[in-house]
Amino acid sequence: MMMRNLSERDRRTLRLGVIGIIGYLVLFYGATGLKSLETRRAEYDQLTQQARRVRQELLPYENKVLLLEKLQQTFRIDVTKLNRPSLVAEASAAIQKAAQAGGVQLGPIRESPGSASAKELAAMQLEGVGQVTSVMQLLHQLQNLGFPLVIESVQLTPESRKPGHIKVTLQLAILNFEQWKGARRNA
Amino acid sequence: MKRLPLSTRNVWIEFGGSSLRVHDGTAGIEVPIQRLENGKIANRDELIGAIRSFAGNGWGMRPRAICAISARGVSLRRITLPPTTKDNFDQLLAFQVEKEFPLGPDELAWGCYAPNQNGHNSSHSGSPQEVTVIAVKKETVAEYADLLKPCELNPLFTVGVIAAAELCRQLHRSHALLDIGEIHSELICVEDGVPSGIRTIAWGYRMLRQCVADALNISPEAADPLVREATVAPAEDQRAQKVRQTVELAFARLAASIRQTWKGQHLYVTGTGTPQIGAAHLLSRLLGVTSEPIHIPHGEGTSAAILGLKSLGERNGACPPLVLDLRNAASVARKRRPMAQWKWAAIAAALVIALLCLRYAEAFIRHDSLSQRLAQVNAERERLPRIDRELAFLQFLETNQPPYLNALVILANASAPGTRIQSLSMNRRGDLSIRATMQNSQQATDLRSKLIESGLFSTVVFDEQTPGPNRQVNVRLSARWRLTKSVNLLEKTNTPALKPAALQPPTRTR
Repeated sequence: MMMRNLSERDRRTLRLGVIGIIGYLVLFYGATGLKSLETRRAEYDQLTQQARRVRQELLPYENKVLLLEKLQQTFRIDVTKLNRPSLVAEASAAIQKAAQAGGVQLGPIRESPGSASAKELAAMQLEGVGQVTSVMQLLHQLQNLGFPLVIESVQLTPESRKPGHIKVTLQLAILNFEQWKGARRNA
Repeated sequence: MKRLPLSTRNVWIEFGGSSLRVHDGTAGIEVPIQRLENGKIANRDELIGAIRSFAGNGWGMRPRAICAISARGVSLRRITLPPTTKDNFDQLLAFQVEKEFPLGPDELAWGCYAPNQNGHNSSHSGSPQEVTVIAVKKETVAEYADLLKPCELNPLFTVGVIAAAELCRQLHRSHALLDIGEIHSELICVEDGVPSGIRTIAWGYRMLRQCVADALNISPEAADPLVREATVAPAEDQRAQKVRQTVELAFARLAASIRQTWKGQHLYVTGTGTPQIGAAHLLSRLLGVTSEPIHIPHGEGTSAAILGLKSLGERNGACPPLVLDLRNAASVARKRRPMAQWKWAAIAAALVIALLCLRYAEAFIRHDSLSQRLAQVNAERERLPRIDRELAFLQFLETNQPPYLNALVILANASAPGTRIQSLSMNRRGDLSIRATMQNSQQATDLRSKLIESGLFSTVVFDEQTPGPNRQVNVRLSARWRLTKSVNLLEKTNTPALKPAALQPPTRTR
């Protein structure tokens, strides 16, 4: 292969040529290139601002989620798994089971439709007789059965026929989650 | 020492005073040079044709021509340079050359022995450096370069006698080499491997032959064989004796010229006819030094200079130790300056790239990952309203669970022993009503106080108090508890008035 040694003039010509080509590229494509770089950077800035906004928005939800999990554990309620058509029946069965397990003998159980304005699915009235501790235990368990129950009223009277026993009359409301739209507090 | 690229073919050329020798390592040619009165070459075309036909390469590589020139007109100076950096070395040297030589560096073709080749101050930075500079008029070398241009050769020029000195470099570091030529002789003095003097002596074979011809009254052509045979002729030959005497006288003049320049102990003698006339032996006797001949193989195009260049080339392709540079000082300085300029340009380019990277690199690198992550988060955001709804529902459930058990505990703790409760009712709105029988009215009063002190009830009223038999009192009590967020009111029962007590079923008194 012919190895040509470049003279100083050849090298100078090459150098000038390379500088000229680079200058041409910078002149004609530099502005376009810079513009595209700036556009990309502006898009990235927008993304970062959007990310900051979303982060601000999501920050309170960290606590909300923790609170929600705690309440779900306390009440043992998974709202997503509540089946509206069979909710009342399931709740009634659970109450009867809890009463039976606690030693409370249940009497008549009456169900009626709930008040739509109060977002109630159904209202229930039940009577039972049992020892004081059993009745108290039932009252306590009603909150943790896994159903959205609110005890409207409690009436306790001594049971004359059974010493040591009391008679309890409960009025319960089963809340309807599907009618719930947003955050509401009891007045 | 600079190295030639190994793949380049080399041709060695000697531009003598009267002849041109060309050798390529295997064969050579010798062409006489005809000069004009001003010393310029007259038969330029003939020489070009001879070189071209000898070194013509066809399709092969363009050979490099390493050229040795005569020492006529060559000056040697030892220059002391102050300590300086590598970048400034050439510029400083050019200044000193202009100072030391009669012509400026732009008018000279010059080269130098680098400080580490001098053997002085080689590795001491911060101390003056001694540099040996050898220079010749640029037009002399330029003429030879122009002659080689049509032959498509890349020439490198050095001084012939310096190349010849390479033949005895390994023998003694301090010596002198005498190259006896046809018209003049060249003497180079070497100290510690670096030339310390170059001199042209107007003494050559032609003059020797003329002396013998004058002594014997014959023509110089007839004297030539007599000079060669004088050393081997028998001692009785009177003619040969006369020739020997004449030769010795002529060599005495040569020795005197050598002594003016050189005072060393080792002398090497070379030249085409030196072995035959015993020049080394004669000079050894006349100068009182050790003198050895350097044998030149018989062949066309061979000489001490050619052999010296060839031995350098065979030594891993080494360049001659001194190369006469045809470029001017400004271009030499520019050769170094661009390196520094390119360094700064590279630093500037690196800084610009760093600036662009700082500003734009993050956008390029993180844009896609950030947009993907945002898309994922935006998809998850659809669950947020549901979370709000569920939380609100459960919080409503929590706040709307009336504290029935709390109220019963407080009531049980506040009631005095013997209290008989006939009925008790509570509702979600916070209303509590009790119908009970107490032992005395004081117990009723105490009950009310304790219920209020408990903090759970905002109002406690006795709707009815009816005295009964045995100082008993039948009471109907209504209370309303505070509708605040559930408080662990069981803690409040630790007050002495509200010690925990079991809720006893009413005992029959009848």
